[in-house]
Parts: sequence; C-alpha cells; structure tokens
Amino acid sequence: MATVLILAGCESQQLENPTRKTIRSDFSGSWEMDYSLNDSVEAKVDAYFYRMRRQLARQSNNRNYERRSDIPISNSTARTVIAMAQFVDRISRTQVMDITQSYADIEVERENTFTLHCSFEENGLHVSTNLFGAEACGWDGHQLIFHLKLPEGLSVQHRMTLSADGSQMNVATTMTSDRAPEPFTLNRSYSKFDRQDRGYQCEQTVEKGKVCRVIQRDPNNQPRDPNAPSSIVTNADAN
Amino acid sequence: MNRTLAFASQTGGISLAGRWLVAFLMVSMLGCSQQPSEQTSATEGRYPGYTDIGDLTANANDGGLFAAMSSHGEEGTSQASPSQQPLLPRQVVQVSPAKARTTLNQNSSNPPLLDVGIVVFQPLASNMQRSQSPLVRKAEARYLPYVLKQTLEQSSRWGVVRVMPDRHGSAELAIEAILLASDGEVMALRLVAQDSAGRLWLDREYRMRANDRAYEHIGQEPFQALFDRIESDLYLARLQLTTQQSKQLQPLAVLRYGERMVPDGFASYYQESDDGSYKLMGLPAASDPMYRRIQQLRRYEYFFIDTADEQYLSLFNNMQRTYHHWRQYSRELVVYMRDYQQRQAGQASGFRRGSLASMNEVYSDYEWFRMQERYLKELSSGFNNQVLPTVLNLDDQVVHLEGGYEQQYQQWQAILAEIFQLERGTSHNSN
Repeated sequence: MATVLILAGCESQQLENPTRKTIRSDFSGSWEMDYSLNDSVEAKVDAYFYRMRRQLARQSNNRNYERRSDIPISNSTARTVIAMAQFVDRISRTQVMDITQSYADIEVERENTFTLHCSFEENGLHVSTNLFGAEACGWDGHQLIFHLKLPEGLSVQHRMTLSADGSQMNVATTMTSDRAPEPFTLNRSYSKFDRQDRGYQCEQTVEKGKVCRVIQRDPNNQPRDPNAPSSIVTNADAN
Repeated sequence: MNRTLAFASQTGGISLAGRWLVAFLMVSMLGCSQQPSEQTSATEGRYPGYTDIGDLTANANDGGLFAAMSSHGEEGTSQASPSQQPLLPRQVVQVSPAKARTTLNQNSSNPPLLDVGIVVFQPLASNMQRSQSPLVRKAEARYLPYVLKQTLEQSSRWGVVRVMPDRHGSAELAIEAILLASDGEVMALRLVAQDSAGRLWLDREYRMRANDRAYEHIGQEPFQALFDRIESDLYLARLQLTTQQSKQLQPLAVLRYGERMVPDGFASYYQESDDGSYKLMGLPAASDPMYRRIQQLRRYEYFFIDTADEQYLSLFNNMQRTYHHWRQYSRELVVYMRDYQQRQAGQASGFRRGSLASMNEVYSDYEWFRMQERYLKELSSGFNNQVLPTVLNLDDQVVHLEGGYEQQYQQWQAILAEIFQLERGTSHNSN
C-alpha cells in the first residue's frame, strides 16, 4: 500500500486510480518492430525543448523564447533532457517481443532484456517491490501499463496500446526524472507476425542451455497454396 | 534420453509382471481354499499419493514419525514435546564440509545388523507453495533418500537399506525427513529415526553450506558430509542399545507387522508402555502357522518395497547429472545475487544525478536483478524438461505398485482374520 502511494506520488497524473473502465485487450502473439511508424528521437527532443520555451514564454510576459538562440534552460537541465532521450531510445529498442496473455496475467518476453510480467488485479494496479526498485502494472482502460520506480528520482513507464484490428501495437515509453521539468516519451510501433513458420523448436535444458531442433514437417500435411491450380480428378468410370 | 527412459520403463514392466506372478502364487498359497467374505479396510500401511501440496501436508500429520512433532514451528527449529526423549539429544547440527564421517569403533560384540527403511522425504509445504520450481522440490525429495541409503550401505554398519514410498511397519529402523531448504548452497533437513520397539533414536535438524569445490565432480554428492553425519549419529544411537534391546528389534518388527495384519493375533507377545515404546514379552513357537504366514507376508512386503526401491534407483541414476548441474548453477546464482545485492543496495550510483551514466547504472542494476530471476526460472524450466519424464514414470510405477499392493494387503487381512478365527475356535474347542 505504501508503495502504491509512493508510486502515485511520483506520477500521480498517470498512475493514481486509473478511472477508465478496464477493457482487456488481447496482446498475445509475436511482435516485431515496425521502424516506419516509430518516433524520431531528434524530432521528439526538438518538440520537448519547443514546449519548454513556449511555457517559459507564457510565464515571462510573452517574451519570444521560441527561437533556438536564446534558450533560458540551464545546461544541466538540457543535458538531463538529452540524456533522457538517449536513455529512452536505448531501453525501447527491443526489436522482437513474445507476449503470452491469459485472463489472469500477461508475460511480455523482450529480446535482450528482462521479461515484463503482470498479474491482473480486480481493481487497481498490481504492485511488487525488490531491493532495486518497485513495479506497478495493470489496465488503464484498454491500455496496459508497466510502471517502474527506480532510485535517484527516475521512473520508466511502458504504455501498450493495441490497434483496432489487433495487427499493430504501440508501446509508449515515458521516462521521468526529478532533474527534468517534464517526462520524455518515445513511441515504438510493432507489427504482429506468426512464429509458427520458424521451422525449429527450442527447449530449455540445465546442461546445454536452450536446445533447438528442426521440426520435420509432414509433406502431406502442408497447408495448400490458395493460388495453386486445383488438382484434376478424373473418374475412370465416366470415361 | 527418451530411448533410455523407454528402455527403463520396459525393463521395469517385465520385472513387475514377473513379480506379480510370484506374488499371485504366494497369495493363492496363503489363501488355500478360503475366500475373503468381505473387504476390510486397512487401518495402517496406506500409501497416499504425494502429488500435491495438500497431500504432502496431510502426510506429515498422518501417523508418520512427524505426527508427534506437529507442534513444531514450520521451519522446524523449535522443539516439540513428544512423550519420548530420543537417544541422542535434540539439536540443530551444523555440518562442516571439511568433516568427513566420524570414525567410530565398531562394537566388538558385533550386534546384529538392522534393516533400515528410509521413507521418501517430504518437501516443506510452504517451500512448495513459494517455489518457482515445485518439480525440483518434488524430484529431490525422491533423490536425496537414495543418497542417504547409499551412505548407510557404504558404511557397512547396517543391514538391508530400502527407500520406500511410505512408512511400512516392518522396518526395524524407520527414517523420515522433511526437507527444509535446498538451493544448492544450503541444505537443511529435519530427520527422525525410530526403531520397531517405538524407541526414538534421532530427532534432529541438519544444516550444511556447500562451497564451490563441492561441485567439482559430478558423481560426488555436494552435501555428502551431511549424510555422513546422519549415518554417524544413527550409529551412535545404535551403540546406546543393549545387546538385549538390539536382539528384540527384529522379532518386534515381525510381531507388530503381524498385529497390523491380524489384530489381537500377537498382542500378547509384547507390551506397550506409556511413552509409546514396546517391550517383547515372548515369542510364538517357530512352528506357529500364523507366525509363519506373517513372516512369509513380511518377506513379500519387502519384495514390494524392493521393487519400488528399484524405481528410486532409476530416478537417482537418471537425474544425478542434471540435478548436480541444477544445484551448482542455482548456488552460483544465489551466491552472486546475494553478493551483488550487498554491494549495490542503497548505494548511490556515483554519477551526476540526471546524467545518462547515472540513468544507465540505476536501470542496469534493476535489469540485472530481473535477468537473474529469469535465469533461475529458465534453470528450473530446464530441469523440468529433463527430469519430468523420469519423475512421472517413477510416480506411475509406484502408484501402480501401491494400488496393487494395497488391494492384496486388504485381501490378506481378510483371509488371515478368517484363518485366525477358525484356528482360535478349533483351539478353544480342543481345550
């Protein structure tokens, strides 16, 4: 409960009591990054500084801070914002994800990093803690949130959204630092693909690690190519 | 691997069929022309399944040696107050890896060697619930008794040592244990040993911490020193018995077994004291037909247990290598994770707050921790993939044996009860 409060305190606008009605989207399947739909990091950084200048302009009797030349942002803050952008870019580079979902929980296996796991609560977010940080996860409407609270005033949130037809998924990774005026968000887009055609099957072992073997397909059991010409069946009796 | 398992299964099947044929002939011989008029329920000697946590918990309080210790704390560190004091004082024994088996002078009078029955260990129910790898807990509870069996056999200070799925009344010394902890680095178990006279030998908790050198050789049990210590303690307790007490254990085992088969049939030959121990008052004549039948049935019971024991040997051989690696990797992860946590927890990164280096370091720590969790999970998953077929095969075989044996057992009870009534009636008439 204390952790919930801490988490809520650090980013109350996003995590405190998701009020939207839960609609459990089905994220299960394999996903690969669709680079064409990803955010540009440079453009997001430019937009971030633009928003900051606009805000400062409003607060300072409409002085024109929108021009790049006279940014009243300290070097330290600017460096932190750039660092956040680089950091979010790094941690959201996962190219392939495998998601297993049931009514009770979800597991997001990500390439080259740790797996995200969430047990769905009836109400509110599921919270877990360890020595290195605290996690909260759960549904916010049809979106799935994984929020990670880290030491040194850092927090990272992944907000997953499924497209209407279920073929695309957006993962918005938001980074918050107590040294930056506002969070930095980067969107990554993923397309669903079928893992069945890999042609091999892997199994974890203690002695040899992951062992994969080629699946021998039965040639008589292959799905028929819909463009192939239909086979001609002749009836000998008819002749 | 699969081929080996299939072969083992086939071999077991042939062996079982042959043994059941022999058993059937024995039962036919025993039953003579008598048919059981009704099925009587077995009051003891039941072999409940142990496939889930509920059953395990139930077993711990279902007439076993741990029944008297139900008041113990779950971790087994507090002392219970059973009516009987064990031959060796209750204590938590910290075993050092450096200490080998205690060399004790064998009694010059060469006391009779006792047959020992080791019941499959019980994993702690709460460990099963907490564990990410319940199959590992289940498999090691069947593997480790075999290590103890081998230790006792190698000492040459004991008679026949058998691993059995549940406690059988016919063992001269019965050993039961609860596995309190096992992560490759630490093993802790609570062990109770009781002889057929109801005398409590041991009620101790053994703990040992293994270092990395313990895993240098695959065939060598990393916690061998712990099992050696148990053997030494058992032998120390054994030496406290007088020759007379030792000699009474074998006939008492037979008579108590007979009493279970034929209630009131042998009660006059021994006396139960207030503390639950038994004293031999006399013996039936060697030519007593009921006594001979009971001895014959007891031999058959050993026949059943030996068959089950073979299944445990098969499991031991099949999982020895995998389990060794699992414990070795598990230990490395446990030790590394603990050291890492001690170094890192609560420390600032050392970089400027808000810098990329600081963010990377803080996040990397968290990522590392979660990756370790994942490796442990994968390790357990790998263990499951490699050992699950063997454990399932073992359980199938033992359950099959249990089912058949229990049915036979009930028939024998009914037949013997009828014979006993007939013989007693004849005896009364002749008197």
